[in-house]
Amino acid sequence: MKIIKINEDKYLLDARGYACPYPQVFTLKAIKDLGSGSIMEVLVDNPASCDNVPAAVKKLGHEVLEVREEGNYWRIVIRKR
Amino acid sequence: MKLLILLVESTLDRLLALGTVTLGAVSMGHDVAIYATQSASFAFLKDYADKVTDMAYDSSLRGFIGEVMRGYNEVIINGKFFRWYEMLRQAKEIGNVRIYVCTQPFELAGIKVNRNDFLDIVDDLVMIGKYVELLEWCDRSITL
Repeated sequence: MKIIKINEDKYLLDARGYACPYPQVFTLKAIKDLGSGSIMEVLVDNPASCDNVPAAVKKLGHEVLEVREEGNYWRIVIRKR
Repeated sequence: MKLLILLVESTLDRLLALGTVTLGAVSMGHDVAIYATQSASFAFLKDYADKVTDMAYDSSLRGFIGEVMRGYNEVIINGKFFRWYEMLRQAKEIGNVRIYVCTQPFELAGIKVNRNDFLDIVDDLVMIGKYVELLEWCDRSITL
């Protein structure tokens, strides 16, 4: 899965259609490569990921700025520590 | 955390759980060691890894399992999910995962094997001493 660079410090990861554990795995793998303070938005389309991905991200010390429902999917906004 | 997973069964549900737990753990920065024994040892044979398609379940759940298998095959074709051994390969790329296969079942079956008979994700063919060593190494141990 590829992470898309939106601008200098903002990235997008589209994990829609992927079953557990991939939304978490892809998110944590992608965030490793980003600079401190970078923003990553992750799109997921299963409700469990809305809890699971933010929890995993927070556990590793990153900040979850927002979890927003957008139609039939969710956008999780993360700031790398 | 250092996690030891003892795998004793070889059905696809166990192998998918193995891949999922391993990937989940390494993505969080944990170390994982897998010790496969009994029928699970055979699942790591190169020529059999793809042949494992049975799941263990109660007959009342047959309809659900049928849907799981349909969905599983579909997402693999679509590239949105991966076979159990590919999950383990991905986990090894992300973090520290070691896979050990116990040779006792092969000895009992009178089958001679060497490393070349197994998937390349297997780190070593071992016996019970390695399991005890891993028990001393780990912080947590689970059995699948």
